[in-house]
Amino acid sequence: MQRTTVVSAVLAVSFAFGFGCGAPMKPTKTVKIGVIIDRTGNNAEPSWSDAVKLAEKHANAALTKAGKDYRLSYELNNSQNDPATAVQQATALVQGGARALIVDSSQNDVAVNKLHYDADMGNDLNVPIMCGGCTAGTINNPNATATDMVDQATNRNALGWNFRGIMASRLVAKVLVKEMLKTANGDANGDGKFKLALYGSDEAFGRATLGDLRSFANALHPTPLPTYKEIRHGATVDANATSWATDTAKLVEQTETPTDGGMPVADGTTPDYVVVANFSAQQAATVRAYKTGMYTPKMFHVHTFRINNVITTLGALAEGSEGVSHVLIDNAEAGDLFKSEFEKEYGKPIAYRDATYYDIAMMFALGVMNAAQTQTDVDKLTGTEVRDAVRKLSDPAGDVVKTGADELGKALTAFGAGKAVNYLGASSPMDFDANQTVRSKLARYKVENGKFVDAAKFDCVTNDDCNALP
Amino acid sequence: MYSSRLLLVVLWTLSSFAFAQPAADAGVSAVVPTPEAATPASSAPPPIDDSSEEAMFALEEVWTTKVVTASGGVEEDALSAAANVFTVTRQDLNRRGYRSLAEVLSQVPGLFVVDDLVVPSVNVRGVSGGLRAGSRIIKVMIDGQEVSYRPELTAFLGPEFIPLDLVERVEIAKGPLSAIYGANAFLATVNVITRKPTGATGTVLLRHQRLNATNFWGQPGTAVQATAGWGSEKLSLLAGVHAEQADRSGLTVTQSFPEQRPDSPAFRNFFRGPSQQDLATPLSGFFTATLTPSTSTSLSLQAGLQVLDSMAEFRTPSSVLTHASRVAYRNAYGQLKWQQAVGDRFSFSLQAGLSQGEPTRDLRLLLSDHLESSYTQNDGYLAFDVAGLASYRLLDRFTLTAGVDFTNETHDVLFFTQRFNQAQGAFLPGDVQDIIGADERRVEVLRNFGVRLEGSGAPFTALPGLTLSAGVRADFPNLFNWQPSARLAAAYRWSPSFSTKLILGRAFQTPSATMLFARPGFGNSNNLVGNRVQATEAPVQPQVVTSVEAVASAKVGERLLLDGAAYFQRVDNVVFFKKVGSNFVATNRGDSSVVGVELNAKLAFDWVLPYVQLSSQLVLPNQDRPEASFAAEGFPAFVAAVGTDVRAPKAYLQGNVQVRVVGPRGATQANVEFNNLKPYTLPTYVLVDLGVSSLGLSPFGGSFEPQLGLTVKNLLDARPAQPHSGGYDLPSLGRTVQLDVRFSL
Repeated sequence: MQRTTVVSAVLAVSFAFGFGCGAPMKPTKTVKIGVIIDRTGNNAEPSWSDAVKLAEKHANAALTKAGKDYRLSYELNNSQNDPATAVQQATALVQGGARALIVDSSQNDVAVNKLHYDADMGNDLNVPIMCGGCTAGTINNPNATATDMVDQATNRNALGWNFRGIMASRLVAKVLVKEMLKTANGDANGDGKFKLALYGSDEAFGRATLGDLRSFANALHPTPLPTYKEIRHGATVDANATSWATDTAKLVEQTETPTDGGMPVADGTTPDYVVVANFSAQQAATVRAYKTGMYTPKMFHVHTFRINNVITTLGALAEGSEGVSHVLIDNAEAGDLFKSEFEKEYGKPIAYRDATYYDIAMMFALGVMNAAQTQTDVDKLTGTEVRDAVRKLSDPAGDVVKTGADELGKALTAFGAGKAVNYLGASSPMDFDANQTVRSKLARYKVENGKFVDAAKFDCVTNDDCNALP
Repeated sequence: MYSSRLLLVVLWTLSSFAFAQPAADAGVSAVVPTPEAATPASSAPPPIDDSSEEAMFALEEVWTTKVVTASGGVEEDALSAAANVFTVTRQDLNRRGYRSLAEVLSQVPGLFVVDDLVVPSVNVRGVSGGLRAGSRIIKVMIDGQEVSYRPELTAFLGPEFIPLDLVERVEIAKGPLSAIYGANAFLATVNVITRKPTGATGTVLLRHQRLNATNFWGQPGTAVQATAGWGSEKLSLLAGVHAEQADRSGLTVTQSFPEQRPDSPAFRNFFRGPSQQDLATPLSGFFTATLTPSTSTSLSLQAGLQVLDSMAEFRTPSSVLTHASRVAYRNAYGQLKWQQAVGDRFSFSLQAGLSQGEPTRDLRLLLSDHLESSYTQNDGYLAFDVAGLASYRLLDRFTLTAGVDFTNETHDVLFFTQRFNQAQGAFLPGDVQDIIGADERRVEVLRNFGVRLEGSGAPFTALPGLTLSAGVRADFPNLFNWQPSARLAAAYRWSPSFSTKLILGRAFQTPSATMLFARPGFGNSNNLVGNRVQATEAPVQPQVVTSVEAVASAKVGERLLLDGAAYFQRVDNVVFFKKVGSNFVATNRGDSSVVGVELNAKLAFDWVLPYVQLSSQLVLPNQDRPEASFAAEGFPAFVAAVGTDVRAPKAYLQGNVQVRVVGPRGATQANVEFNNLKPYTLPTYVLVDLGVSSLGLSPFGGSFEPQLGLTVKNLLDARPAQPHSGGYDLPSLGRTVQLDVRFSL
């Protein structure tokens, strides 16, 4: 009896003190972050969710090691690249307690952020949104204009809820035009003119990218100004539709789209280049129709082509395709560590934008960790606190924090000491400017032996010149 | 069509007349040939005289079932066999009016068949074969020879598999059997044992059926089957053909998960109305000859042809409800086998098999809503298998067996050819384009060398009821690392009416040639792209199962038979089909563990044999699935069946009635993706089947026996959805009414 009492007392004391000094406290709280990424639609890449989950693993490993009483949970959703679906999911996630949202494409990002600017005050999310595939130049642009005042306000992002975690396609367009001008100053077919056939989806990303291509072609080839054939297709056209064949045939017709966007008029010239800016499944459909047509003008692609779905859909038909995208990884140490951790975790190579989504997830992890320093109860953490904390993660004077669980541990220590941090990502420096958008390096890629291969890289971090890197 | 209906009416009239005048001595008309053993040295169970008192159901009949699959060909008592073997006899086939092997398998506890109305898929014990699974996770054989369409590792399990009147019994050995049969004897092994005729036998079957028979008047179908056999002491011959036409039209996809909005572009193709012109015209032929010049020597030859020809209204999401897509394959196989006994203790066998399959010219695929092009599928194979086996009987109580085998499969890589129905780009109507790169390999060779060693018997004289079996096997596939397999079993007969066994096993399954090398090209979405021809996912590896199973069988008195099995199985390197953008790629995903039970009870009560079957399993949590679940992916949480067989020779009747309750089935992972990553289940349903047929009618005397049969399947016309991929779940056939007239000699 006496022995039992003693043992019970020892056990009770042990429990009370958490089995001794320094033992980690049992986590009881979860901070949710909503993730809305296309997994089955026309821009799907399941690898991006894997990258987010890797960041979750790293964040929770760091929190465990630091003995914190909360963990992060990234709640995956399938946007189907459908804005209405994304809005529905964002609303449900926030109502379910999400303190931040990761979203994918431009159209989804705009649709979700728009909830803050429409007439309905009751649907405001009031949590930070960070997008990993939103490259439309109109997003987070304080000078954006639109006929719809709500659209304009959304793009201008005056409330600052929206963060763009990937560089806009504006400089992708610039590098593409520069590449085209390298051959006979753009006159690839030798007819004395520089003519571009532009093909894109009629939504935020497609419209903005085709506009950027025109702007840079005009700027870099002012005399004579280039001529254009431009066709936009519906954002949700079925990848198996025959309209791809019809459209690609029209692209190479000897007609020109007037500057006012009216009906094409005969101009007697064929395009020197065709440039395609739509979603990945549509990119594949375009290439297949174009190759079936055996058309000769060289076709260039933007970053949305560089998605595994395109190669799995096209197989050998993808061989030789070229374009410009953001780099897969950057910042030697940060990028290499992410790459090795990802490949170790999943046993497969990293895909385009994996690093971007990892970085975005890490930014929110750091934002929560930072905000939690001043908010003793993470259950009371607000979207505003997370947003404001994320804004402080690009402090040039702060401690540099790279990728991986150990680096997050360093960040926790820095936050505990009241210091600022500067996250150096795997995809880019992840330095948000005043418009809450980042800059990154670009790559000219080509499909060789069933893989995307970088042929050249360009520094668009330093300035807009995007000079070629050695 | 009309001539066959007329013939049917005539035969029906004749048979009705016969039914009204039963033969004085029905026993004479019982022309059931005595089933012989699968091997020359084995003994056969006594024939059942349907007209005698023995025709009453006797438990002994079930209790003493002989099987050959668990041993690799040697006949043995099912109770001591080193596997849990479920047997469906010829009498069961006849009494229940089964149309195909798939229907047979659908009634086996622990198996669940999902039919996309082209190639049925077999899921086993909580494990699904995944996208267009077919019979990928089981091995299907005829008299020990693998019969499958090798590029897909799939047997055509419909009526094209074999004329069922040639079948003596179907053995389904559940659990891993790679230790005997090598790759792909993974979760179960199905062995169709053909009849061994004595004297002259023959059957002609004429069948009229009505599918989806709302108000008992659905889409018409007709089947004709003829078999003939002759057997003597030294030679036996058996052959048969089956041809059929069935119209399955009238099925609709129903909304089965919340995110599946019928009006959205992603799903609207699935809800475009009922299926139309959904014809299937399967054809099968089989021939076998066995020469037994002496008691120690046996030479056998078997050959078969299978023609799968089916419209494909629901098979692939890109091609749903086109009313014109047609899947048509021809698969042929043959095997020559020499078995030789040398003295009393030593025997050996040598066998060589050849099989070949390819699409027929009728295969044509169209894309939903886009009929401007049609597609043909280019794949096929030629396989050559050789095997040698030697057995030595030790001390009369134990047999050592050693074997080697080699398989060489030359596969035509799956790619598509597009035929333009209208001008498109540089192509004119009628032009064709192969969708494969000029430099890409069009042929891939898969080889495997296997070696096995096994010992089995009752080694201890002090424990004559104990049977032990231990086997190991090593396989050396050319595309993967070597694969070990093993089996260890102990069966103990505690008393004449109680028996138990414990079985441990390890088996593996290699990915199919299609899973490895298929090229995309059927439209721009929903293609299965070969793992080895893409750079997205890690190289897919064989999946491996490890299991332990306990089986107990008890005979309670003279009337009640109980048997039950409890198992644990763990599959590592689970092969699943990952949606990569718009397409699917086979890859590996961690592990999956299942515990389950299967219970059977039979009560022999003179002329009725009531039975109850129950199977259920629990999928254990893992890193992908935090909570345990009864409803596995593509598999019901439980299946319960209550029914009775009836055999009343004095009334010239036999039959079966059964109520089957199928529990909620877990959605496929691919569809969970479409449901915003939220798992869902398909609701429970009830199937009522009823079959009645004449027994022992012999209106003309002698051995000529006509038999009439009426079978109604799914009497209540339940229309459950079954798990599928690509954004929709499959509709099921409704009520089926089937009228059989069979003439036996």
